[in-house]
Amino acid sequence: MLQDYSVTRRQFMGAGAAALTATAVPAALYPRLPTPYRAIFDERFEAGRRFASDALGRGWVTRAIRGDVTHVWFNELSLRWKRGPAPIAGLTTASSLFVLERLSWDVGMRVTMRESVAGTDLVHWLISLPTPRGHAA
Amino acid sequence: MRTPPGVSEADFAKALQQFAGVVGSQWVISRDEEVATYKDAYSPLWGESEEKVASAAVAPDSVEQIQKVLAIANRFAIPLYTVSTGRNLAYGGSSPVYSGSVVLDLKRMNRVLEVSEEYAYALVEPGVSYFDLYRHLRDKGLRFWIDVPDPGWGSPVGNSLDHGAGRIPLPYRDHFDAHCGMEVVLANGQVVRTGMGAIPGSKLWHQTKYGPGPLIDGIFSQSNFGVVTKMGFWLMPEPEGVLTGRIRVPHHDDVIPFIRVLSSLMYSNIVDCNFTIQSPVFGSPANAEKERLQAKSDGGTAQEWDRYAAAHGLAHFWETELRFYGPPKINSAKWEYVKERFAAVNGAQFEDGETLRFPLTDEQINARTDVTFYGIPSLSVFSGMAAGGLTGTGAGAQTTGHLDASPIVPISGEALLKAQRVFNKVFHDAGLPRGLGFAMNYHWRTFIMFQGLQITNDKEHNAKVRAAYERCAQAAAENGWGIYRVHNAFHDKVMSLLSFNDHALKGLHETLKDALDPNGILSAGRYGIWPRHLRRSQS
Repeated sequence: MLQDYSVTRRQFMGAGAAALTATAVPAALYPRLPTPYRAIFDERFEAGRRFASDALGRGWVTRAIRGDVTHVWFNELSLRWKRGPAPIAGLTTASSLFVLERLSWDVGMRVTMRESVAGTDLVHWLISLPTPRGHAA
Repeated sequence: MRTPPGVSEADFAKALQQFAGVVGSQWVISRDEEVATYKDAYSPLWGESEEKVASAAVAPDSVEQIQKVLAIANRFAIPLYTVSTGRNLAYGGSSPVYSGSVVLDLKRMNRVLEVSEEYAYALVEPGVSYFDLYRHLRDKGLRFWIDVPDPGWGSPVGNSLDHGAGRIPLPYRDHFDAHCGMEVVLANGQVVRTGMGAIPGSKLWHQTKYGPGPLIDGIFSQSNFGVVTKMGFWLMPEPEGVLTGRIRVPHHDDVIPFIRVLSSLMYSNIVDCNFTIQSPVFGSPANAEKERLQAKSDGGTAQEWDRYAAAHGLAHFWETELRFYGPPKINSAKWEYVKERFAAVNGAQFEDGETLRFPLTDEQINARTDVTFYGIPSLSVFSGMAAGGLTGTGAGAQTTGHLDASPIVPISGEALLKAQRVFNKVFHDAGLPRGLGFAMNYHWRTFIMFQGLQITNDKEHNAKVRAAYERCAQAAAENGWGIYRVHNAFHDKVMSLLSFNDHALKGLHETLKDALDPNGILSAGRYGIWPRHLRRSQS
């Protein structure tokens, strides 16, 4: 049986608050979230590498990109998502997130956390199933 | 929840309920936040009252379900708008031309129905993406290439019906030209197969486009006369190798003999690859001197541009890269012959490029940024541009998209130079940065000169962009050129330019529409074709 990957509204709100002050994995937040299937980071940026370092410390499986998400999507995400939704987290450019967001729509997931990293084109994000409550908000 | 224009809330509720009875309630999308995923993320009308938005979506899984959905739409006069996978960014995404339409989303019809190794074709449904087909071929060990657009997340059916094109040799590169045989559900629910597909048990449906009688497939592209549910596509056998070579010429006016030789080689099928005519002079970053020359009424003389190039240390003015696909011996012979022919152009220089052997390993594929030239779908186009899409105006909202005005001009140096002057002036007059301006042989025997226009959340800026887009189309028509594919915000404007003999072509389209879709339920307004009851208000 697939793990329930829904994100509660409380977790969602907490994610936003935590991400405002950090470019690495928000320490106070992620222990309450299900482990993402993959944590994706743009290795061209220091903030991305720090995110990956933190994610690895939590035992998450990380994948490096350099803007282009094709490889991780084609070889991993698309195959996993054929079996059903599985959340992913990341710190990437807005363009990379744009692509992943639209692909995730096909399995009913949404960007449930999206916070810009100040002074950069980078975004710290979480893609997961929204809860019905989240929809209604 | 929005309702389609002219449909009562009660009738719409009944229609949605009946749709759900056909496809399952989870495949009727009517909650506002879910319907919003059908918005055009690159809409030039973003956030404005005229923005094109859907009222709902319905996603059938079979031809039979489509027939039932059409029957319900006819019963309640529900306007539908058909999409395959609904990507189509820069041309409207999955947003309907007629706001309030219900998107008929065919993404669930994603089956690769057949691949013939012997006859080198695939038969697919509309929801099959380029990635799906590529994976299918790879997993089955079938050594065929498909031609893929940038990016490859769209569908062969949708992209070919919109006249899309890609990178590998002709005829595969022109996606509609590479199709052979289709199945269409008409507005009345009748299923039609084209060409030899009309013969029950046909063994030729995907081998020849012709059946006895009219070749009818074309009326289902860039139109709204039916719902295409299957298409056959010819597949290119994987070549043994690819050889790359680059040609450069030194002066501004060299582009005229340069393209004359190149087009002759193309018409002879010696050169069958996708190539781009680029200029390091025009393509380099703007500066005051360059701006001054481009702003001149003549766009700068050849002598002025040659002096500019020399002053900036640019050793050549024009260049292109050619690829030869096939056995290495033949590729080398072709490249040598091309060099011989270009010897007629003074100062032509040649650079031998890489030689690739196929199949590529995964490591080779992952290391390359030009995989679309080798039949491999990619999403890398998004990593090279600020194109994060328009997602709102709050914190974290992205503010970039783009629109492609896509004029096509004849393949000649004279036309290329004139088009650069014409389109530069359009952008200059609009107060916008000039467009991309390079020329590419996307389709057979024409250059496409993509003019990229940035879309943002700034309505004032977007109004300028819309005006520049329309002016591009107008300027193209005034010079006898055209637009190969149109963003759905401009279908009426661009189609109005096809005015020969008092818009006789539009009249023909409307005659067909009235005959094939008398209630006007299918994709109203697509490419300027409106059903009778909407013509006066929309055209």
